[in-house]
Amino acid sequence: MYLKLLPRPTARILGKMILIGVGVISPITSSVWAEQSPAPTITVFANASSGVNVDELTLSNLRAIFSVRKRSWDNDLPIKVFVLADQEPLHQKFCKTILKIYPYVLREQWDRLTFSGTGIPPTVVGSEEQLRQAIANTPGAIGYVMSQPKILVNSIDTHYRLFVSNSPVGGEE
Amino acid sequence: MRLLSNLVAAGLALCVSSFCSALSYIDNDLQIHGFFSQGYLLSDGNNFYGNSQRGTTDFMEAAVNANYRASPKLNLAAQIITRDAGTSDNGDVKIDFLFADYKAIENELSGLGFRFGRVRNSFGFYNDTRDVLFTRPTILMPQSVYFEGNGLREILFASDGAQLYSYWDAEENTTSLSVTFGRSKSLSADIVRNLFGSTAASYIDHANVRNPIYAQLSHSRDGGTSKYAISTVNMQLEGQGSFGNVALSANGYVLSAQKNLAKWTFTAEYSLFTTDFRSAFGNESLDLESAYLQSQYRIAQNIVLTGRYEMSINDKSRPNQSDSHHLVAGINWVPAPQWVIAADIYGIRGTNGIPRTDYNDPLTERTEILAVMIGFRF
Repeated sequence: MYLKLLPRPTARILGKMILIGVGVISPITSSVWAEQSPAPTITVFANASSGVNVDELTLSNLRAIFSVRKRSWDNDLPIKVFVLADQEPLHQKFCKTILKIYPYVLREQWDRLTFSGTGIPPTVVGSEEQLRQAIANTPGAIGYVMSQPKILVNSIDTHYRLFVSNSPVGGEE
Repeated sequence: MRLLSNLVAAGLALCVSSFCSALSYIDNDLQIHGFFSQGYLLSDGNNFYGNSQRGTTDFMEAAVNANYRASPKLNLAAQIITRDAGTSDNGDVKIDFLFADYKAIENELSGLGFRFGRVRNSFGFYNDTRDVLFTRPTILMPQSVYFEGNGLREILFASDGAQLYSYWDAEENTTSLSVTFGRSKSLSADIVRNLFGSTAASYIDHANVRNPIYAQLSHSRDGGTSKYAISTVNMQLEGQGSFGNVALSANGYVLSAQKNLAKWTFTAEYSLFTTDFRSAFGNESLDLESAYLQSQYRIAQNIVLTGRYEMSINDKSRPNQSDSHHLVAGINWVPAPQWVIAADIYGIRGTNGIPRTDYNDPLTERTEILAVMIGFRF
């Protein structure tokens, strides 16, 4: 919305820019892997248009967003939540370590929204790559990815900025 | 024939689903979902939804809903539903809900909004999605709190009117309030028969429910690990007929508590309905009290075992003559995210919760039911 007020090239770049924050969770269990490379993280992403630094979102904020109680960012842009399917290990890990909600409890909340009409549940996408794309291309979008930090840095292009949080929301598993 | 028409509906649902899943993925502002479920019931003692003593497929539910984000503050939502349940529901297509949802206030930790139109009533943990197999613990709702058989179901599930909703978040918990102000509406002959019994109903020409009010205060701690709710309803039923007017005033209260653990979920709900019935032949006050305890165990991520004990007393002044007890054991398997297969066994002593209209004359005091249901969602 407010992007319309900006000069078009600026708006385009901003629109593609992704803030990456909140993470450095869950060191993996394999010690071999841990010795060879940095631990993978679950990273909460938001499309830059949201105007939010996800690094600053508290546990309470994230629960309100992913439970679809909170519907708009501070700049009035609608929050659009993207997730993977319930049974995906990354989704399960995100629920347990970041939101600290059992996946089945979150599913019950979303089903209640869906079938009583009281909210628009998150959009489920098929893969982590689709999740990245959806967040990158949708104003107001938020979601998560599992990423091994080094690979993530290599994989992102100049349109993105990367922030790695020093204060993980979910804590270590 | 009934099963055939249900299968045709299932086919349609499947076709619509592939179209709709694509649609919901394309546009995050519009989501279209739905479900279809078909049950089979075999009973001994009394009939439950059709002629179940011979085995019946006369239990089907299907719905399609849409939820559209018209603006950051305004959502529009609608669901049409068809439900076939013996003589309690005849498969007519109905508007289940249809409302505009305006979120008037939202800040970092709280929010408040209004819904206008036909809204689902929040009452107990399960009432607002009670017709969706995917959202209820067993094929048949806990009869003690979510009355199916005595006509209250149709009155409880939706209101035409306005609903206020609000929530407050704290660091480790969230508290929500929902208050629904319903408009008066007239009741169908089926509902009147279920409520008052067929003899009394034959003297009632017209009945309506006047301005029901529902309220629910709920509290969730530690990301839903513990949930508590208190729900109330106040309603007046009025009927006009050949022997003058009848009036039924009812106040209902439900206390709910749930503990969610990694493998286990424990749920308890207690319900008290106080009723005051006035007619030309005199007045009668009845208090109905009921409760259930339920435990669920996840033997795998997609398989849940449920056990439940329910008790209900139709007249607190005669507890030993009006009590019923239900024992329920069930399994719920989700072989794929869009499918669910459930199988339950019900052992019922007493007649509370048995639909009066399903060719049960006279009712017997003992009923066993085997229920199997398959559901698809999109």
